[in-house]
Amino acid sequence: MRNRGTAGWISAGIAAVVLSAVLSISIGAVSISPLAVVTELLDHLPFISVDSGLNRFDKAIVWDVRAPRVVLSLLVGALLSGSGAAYQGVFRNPLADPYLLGVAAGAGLGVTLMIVTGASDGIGPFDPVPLAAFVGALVAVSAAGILGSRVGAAGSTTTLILAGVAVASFLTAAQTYVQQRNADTLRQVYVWILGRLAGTWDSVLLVLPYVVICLGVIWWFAGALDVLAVGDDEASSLGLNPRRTRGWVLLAASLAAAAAVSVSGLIGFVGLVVPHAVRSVAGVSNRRVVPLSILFGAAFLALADIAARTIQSPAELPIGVVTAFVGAPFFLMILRSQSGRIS
Amino acid sequence: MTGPQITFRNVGVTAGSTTLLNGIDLTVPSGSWTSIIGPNGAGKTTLLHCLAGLTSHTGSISIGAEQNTTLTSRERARLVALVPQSPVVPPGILVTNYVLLGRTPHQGMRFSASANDEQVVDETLDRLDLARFANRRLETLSGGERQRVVLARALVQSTEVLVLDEPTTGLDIGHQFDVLELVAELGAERGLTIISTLHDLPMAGQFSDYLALLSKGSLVATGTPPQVLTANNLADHYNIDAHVQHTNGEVSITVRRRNDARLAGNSTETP
Repeated sequence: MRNRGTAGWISAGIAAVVLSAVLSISIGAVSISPLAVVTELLDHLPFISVDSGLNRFDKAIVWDVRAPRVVLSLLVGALLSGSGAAYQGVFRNPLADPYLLGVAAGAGLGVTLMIVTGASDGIGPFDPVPLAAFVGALVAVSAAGILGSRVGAAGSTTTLILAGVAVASFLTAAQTYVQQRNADTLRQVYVWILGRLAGTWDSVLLVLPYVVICLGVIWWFAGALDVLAVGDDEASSLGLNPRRTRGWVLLAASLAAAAAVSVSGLIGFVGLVVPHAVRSVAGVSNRRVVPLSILFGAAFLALADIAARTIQSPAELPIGVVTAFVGAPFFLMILRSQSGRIS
Repeated sequence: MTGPQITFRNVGVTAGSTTLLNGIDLTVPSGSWTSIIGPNGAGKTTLLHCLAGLTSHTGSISIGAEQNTTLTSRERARLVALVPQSPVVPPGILVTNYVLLGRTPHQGMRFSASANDEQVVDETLDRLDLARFANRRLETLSGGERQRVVLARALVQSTEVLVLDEPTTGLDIGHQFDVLELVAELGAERGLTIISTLHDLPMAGQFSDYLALLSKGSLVATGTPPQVLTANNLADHYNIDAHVQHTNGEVSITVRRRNDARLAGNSTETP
């Protein structure tokens, strides 16, 4: 794709990430000036030595409390938004999203099973939670994809979304059943479901490999997704292997969504809202939509986390509540602007 | 450059228990325009899809020295470009980016456009009088303009074979002629071997060097337009009572209404 101006957009995305991160680190119960945050961060870059003027206590807040949480929100936002963009490309459907397709519900069921069986404590050094989430996610997206293509015309927006809603309802019901049957772990499951960004460097390290691998794969296939946009037959006649492209991207997107769900619980609408906003301002080429969704998704979730921490301060709102407040009305707006185009 | 000869040998396609194509033997001469005609459901599109590698088939198809079945889809896409009957128009795509998709088989792993790709696209947009639409969204173009854009995408594939599936669908008679004239000019300029399906029999006769008449999955007549477009063939395979006149490469067909059938209460059909 011809992408004059892409560099400018990418720079804007990186600026948004940095800005939201600095804001998110500086805002909280103890307010730290953004300038001090910037100098403190710069001081940790190699070959740069500046004094932020922060005392030991403030430094501890920045590095041990806020930074891991902010980094995690950036990573989870990137995963959710990047996987949303990928699903939308693969299904050629602007409403495809990890939540609407039931992917998150599948991952949620997987995680719940891990928690109630106690396996979430880990088998040796191995953490089975992301894997269980991934299996659940793959089952859900396959079910939605197969049901959607069997019932209606292939590529039809409505049938895919309806199938996703059905799959999501079923898996959510299964998840609720499992959760209620095991009263002793109820609270643990609830806390996780509502979406929490447990800010520890451990959870950052847990998702980091998924971020690099999954988003790398999705980025690699962005150009192929543009070819896939003309449908399987035409894409084949242009020399692309549609099945191979779809397989890799679905795998990466599902793993990305599952990793996000396994560290942060259910945070909806990010994968829908961000790529859509990107597309409406920067054009429909996935070469732009994918990297920009990743960057702006990261920034979006970091900002949403500020709201989650401050609106009811000192209590915290679950971040999933914040994204739903922003995302649901936005989803309705998309539906309205799409009416007539959806078939 | 002259496009390759294409040879279909005993090509067959079945879907479940239904035979879609049966024992097709057809030679499309190098650099010619051959049109596949035939009633609805005869297998015209299926035959084109066999050539474009979109349908698996028995028998063999050779494109010049290449055997179709041994080609990868990428190799085939450098030999054969397809203009589908109803192209998918991705919402929001710009004309220039849509045409650039035609360069896919010439691009690397991530399908990044080279300077050469962009040059080929610009030249083709100019040639097809589309340059002023380059930054328009494809869905905002009229049917005739859009069909030229799809043709442009096929041309930038830089193939020697052009496959057109009902390229005049949905166009008024003026734009139908425009598109076919353009295909004829480009075919002559670039020495393309062209295979098309066409519903409009007089136009098929006027523009094509050769015709192949498909009926119920079998090839029933091949040859020059006067050899294939005969009153007998139209009666046998289209079930119409037609008068056919060939004058200096122009074809006129008049069809008499079936008054008897109407009196008997049957529905009337027009070709």
